[in-house]
Parts: sequence; C-alpha cells; structure tokens
Amino acid sequence: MLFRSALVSIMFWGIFAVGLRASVIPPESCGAHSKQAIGRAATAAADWMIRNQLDDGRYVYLYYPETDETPADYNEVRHAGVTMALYQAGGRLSSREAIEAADRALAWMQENTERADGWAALAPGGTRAKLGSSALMLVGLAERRLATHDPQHDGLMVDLAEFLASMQRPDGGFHIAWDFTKDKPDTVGTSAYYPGEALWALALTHEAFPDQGFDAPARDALEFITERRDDVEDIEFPPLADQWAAYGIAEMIEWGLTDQQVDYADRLAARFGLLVRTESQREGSWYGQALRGRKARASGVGTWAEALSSLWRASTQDERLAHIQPAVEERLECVAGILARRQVSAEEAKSYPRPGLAEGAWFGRGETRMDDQQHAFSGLLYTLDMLNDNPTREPTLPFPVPQ
Amino acid sequence: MSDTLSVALGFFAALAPFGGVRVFLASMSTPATTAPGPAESAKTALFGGCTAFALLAAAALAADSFLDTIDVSGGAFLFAAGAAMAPVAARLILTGESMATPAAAGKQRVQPWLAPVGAPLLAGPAPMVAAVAYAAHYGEVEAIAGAGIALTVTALILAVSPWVTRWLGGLGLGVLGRLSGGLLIAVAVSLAIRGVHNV
Repeated sequence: MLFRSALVSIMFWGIFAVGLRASVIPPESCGAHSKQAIGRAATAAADWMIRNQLDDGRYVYLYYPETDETPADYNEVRHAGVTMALYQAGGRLSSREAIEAADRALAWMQENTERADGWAALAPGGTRAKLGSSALMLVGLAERRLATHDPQHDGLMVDLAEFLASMQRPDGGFHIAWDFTKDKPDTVGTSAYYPGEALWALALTHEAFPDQGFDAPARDALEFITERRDDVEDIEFPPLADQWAAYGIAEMIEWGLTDQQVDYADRLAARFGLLVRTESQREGSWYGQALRGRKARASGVGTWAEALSSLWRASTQDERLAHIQPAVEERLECVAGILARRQVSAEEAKSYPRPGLAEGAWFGRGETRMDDQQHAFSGLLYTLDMLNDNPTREPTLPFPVPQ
Repeated sequence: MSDTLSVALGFFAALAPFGGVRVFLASMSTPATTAPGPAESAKTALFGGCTAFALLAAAALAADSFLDTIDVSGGAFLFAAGAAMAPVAARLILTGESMATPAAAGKQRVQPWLAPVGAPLLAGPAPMVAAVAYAAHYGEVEAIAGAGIALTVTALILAVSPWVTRWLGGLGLGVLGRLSGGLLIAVAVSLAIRGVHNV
C-alpha cells in the first residue's frame, strides 16, 4: 500500500517536473560570447552601416532578401540613430570610414535642419520636427565631439539642445514635435521613447557645455521618466524597457541620483534581464521557442544590450546599484552572445542575392532594417566594455577629423 | 526583514508543519498503539529534522551546479519554484494536509524519522525547490541558515504534536493546515514575482 502510494506520488511529481520544465523553465542558451566573437560582430555591423550608405548621406533603410527589394521608406529618427552609432564606431574603433560616413549623414541632417526662435531642429520636409530625431542628432553630434574633439558643430549642438528644452512640458515630459505649419508644438501626441532620447541628449550636452544650464531640463526629464512616464504612457508592464533612459542614467549617475531614481534603475535592469532570459529560452530549444513565440528582432535585442551595458556602467559608479552587477554581467554576456550567433556571416551572406546587404546584418521577419545593425552594434560595443572592465564609455583618445 | 529570516519564513511555509502533523503521528503508529509517547515523538522529530536539513543543505549547495546542468538561470528558477509549490499549497488548502496519511502499519515502522518524516514529509518537493531557488537567489549560507531555522521550529511543533493534537482537536489542526496552504500560496506568488523582477 505504502509502496503504491509512493509510486503514484513519484509519478505525479515526475510528470509535474517535466511539465514545469517544458512550460516554465525551458533551457536557456546564450551562444558564443568570447570577446573576439563579440568584437568581430560589432565591426561587421559597423561595416554594414558604412557600406550601405546611399550617395545622399542616407542609408539603405530596409532590405527584403526574398524579393531582393530595398523599399524607399525612410525615417529620420532612425537616420539620426544610425549616424550616432557610426560616430560611436569612429571614436571607439578608431574607424576613419565610420566618421566619414557619419559626416555625410550629418550633412544630410544639416540640410534638413530648420531654425526658429534661437533653436534648431531636424525637420525633413520642413513642416514637422520630431523631438526624437533632433535628440538623436544631438547625441550623434555629442559622440562626434567626444570622438574627434572637433568644436565646429558646438553651436548646432546648443541650438538643438535649446529645441529640446523648449519642448519640455512643466511635468518634465516633452511635446513630441514642433508643427511648423501652426508654429507651435504638437500638444496632443505622446511618445514613450522620445523623453529618454531627449534625456540622454540633454545630459550629454551638459557634459559638453557645463555652463549652459542643460542639467536642469535633464534632471526634470529624469524625474518625469522615473516617476510619471509609465503612467502617462499607460505602460502595461512597467517600467518601460527604455534603453535611452538607461544611457541617461549612466551619464547622470555621477551627478548624484535620488534613491527613487536608483530604485528605477534597479527595476529597469530587472525588466531587461527578464527580456534576455526569455530570449535565451527561445534560443535554447524548439519547445522554448514554441512557448515564448518568435525571436525578437536585432533592433530590440540590441537595445537590451545597450541598456544593460549602461546600467552596468552605472552599477560600477554607485554603491546602491552594486548588487545588480553580477546578474547584469551575466545577462549582458548572454545577450551579446545571442546577437553574435544570429548575425549573418560573410560566408552565409554569399547565399543572399546581394551579399553586401546581408553580411554583418541581422534578419528577422524576412527583413533587415538599418536600426537592427545600429542597436546591435552599440549593444555589442558596450558589452565589450563590460568584458574589458572598462567603465568609461567615451573614446580614450581623440580621433583626427577627416579632411 | 533580513534575507535569512525571509528565507526561513519561505521554508516554514513550504514545510507546513501543521499540515504534516497527522502524517507524523501516523508514521509512528500501529493498530495496537494509538499515539506515540513524548520521547518517541521528540526523537522522530529531531532525527527527521536532521535528515531533512541534510537533504535541504545538499540541495542548496548543489543549486548552482544543478541550474547550470539544466541551463536555467536563478531568476527563471525562482518563478518555477513558485509554480512548483502550487500543488502542495492546493492540497493543504483542500485537505489541511501536505501529503496523504499512510495507513497504520501492522507492526512498528523501522526508522520512521527517515521515511516518511525526513523525506518526503519534511524534505518534500516544495522545500527542495525552495532550497535551490533561495540558494541561487540569496546565496547558499542564507538558504542553509533559513532552512535550519525553519526546520528547528518545525521539529519543535512535530515533537509536541501529540499534545498539540489533543489541545487543538481535528478541526483546529485542519484549520491550521489550511492556513499553512494560504501562507504557502503567498510565498509561491512572492517567489514567482521575485523571479519576474529579477535581473
């Protein structure tokens, strides 16, 4: 009787354990994560962005390998983001080609910059200036300044920062765009990610020009993001997985953050950690993928690496975040390994109709988009910092300005 | 609350001593003896507690290797541990007991402190997954210390269980067993949430 009862019990728990394994904890896999593999992947991604720049300074936006099409769609926010990544590549990889390509892209943005009331904003078409595109253009310029120490665009940087500051609402959030046809901001629309982009841009501008007073709007923006943004944007699973906010926090950590802001950074790390764990379960087994759904695209996975590397940097500078460091390192190494494994190699690219559009790229849902390479590149680049125990994001040596 | 106390509370919920009192007493009974004496209860509770402590400590010490072997991160396992506690919690809430009470043996059981008391009554599925989860999340020392505290309290309750049973009666014991299930549900949910909020 006792034996039968024990057998039934063991069978129940055995089946339960198998069910749990299949449904709750499928195996996690993180791919190859040697420094060399991650470094090679970052370089290949930068090369993709350089190689696939168009004559007018823009980039190939989308590529569908099945039909071998590159649609004419474009997005200036992503243009500014890719340019920012190229300046990062220029400074951190000492790549002249990256700086030259980014300067061509910057020229396109300058041609599409509108000025009014002491500020400047990126506004292709001249009717509407999105906050995000000007914010990322400013971040790109800040990266260029860090990489080259060239002050020629300082005036433009300040004017862009003035635009961001002028768009700030009393609650620390931002209007999402300036409408040139009405000569006033769009007060209706909101954006979940633009505040983070503006935060980081303002923080970098304050670092570049400490006497201009851009720390005040940056602090207000951080307060909005950490205290109100998730409610305003009705985020279903707060905090919003916003890598821009993480960049901003890492930049501002030395300014001194409140306990509440540190707590937000802690929760943000957990949010990204969960995303990485879930993705590694998709990577680990067929049933993990079936359970967790299709793999995230590189523009998403890359942002997780960007965020975690920023929060790692913050954790090295503020004792209150030191406890997240080991887990953040583990997740960061994992997500970089996943990216390195999923990237199209030179050998694999040969099977594509246009190998130059495939090599160094990440494909998902039958396409690659330029920001797949942008976010993956930045994420991989800063993961290398963690692996090299380098808490400084800026390039250590200025790179000569290409003539 | 310190990490160790928090872990101890989690273990206490998983051990659910009031839900195990009937099994504990039945393990020492024969048709000829209705209830064990105080000395036998104390001895069985002490040895059973030590056996369970050894098993839980071993699980805590092996946690990292175990998780590496099955390719699962500590955060993900926390969530799974919460899920693994659900059947035991459900049983406690429904019946007031953590496992089925074995029928009285025809003769005195040999070493009841080992089985069923040491395992699976004390070192059952819920405490074992808790040991792995807590060791991965808080560290081996906290997990082992927490298990030690919870098992000490549990062993004391089991040691005085003949007196507790007389004092509370079947109804009181059933209510406390069901409340243990509620506590275990709370611990399971907290573990699952901790798993989601873990880096």
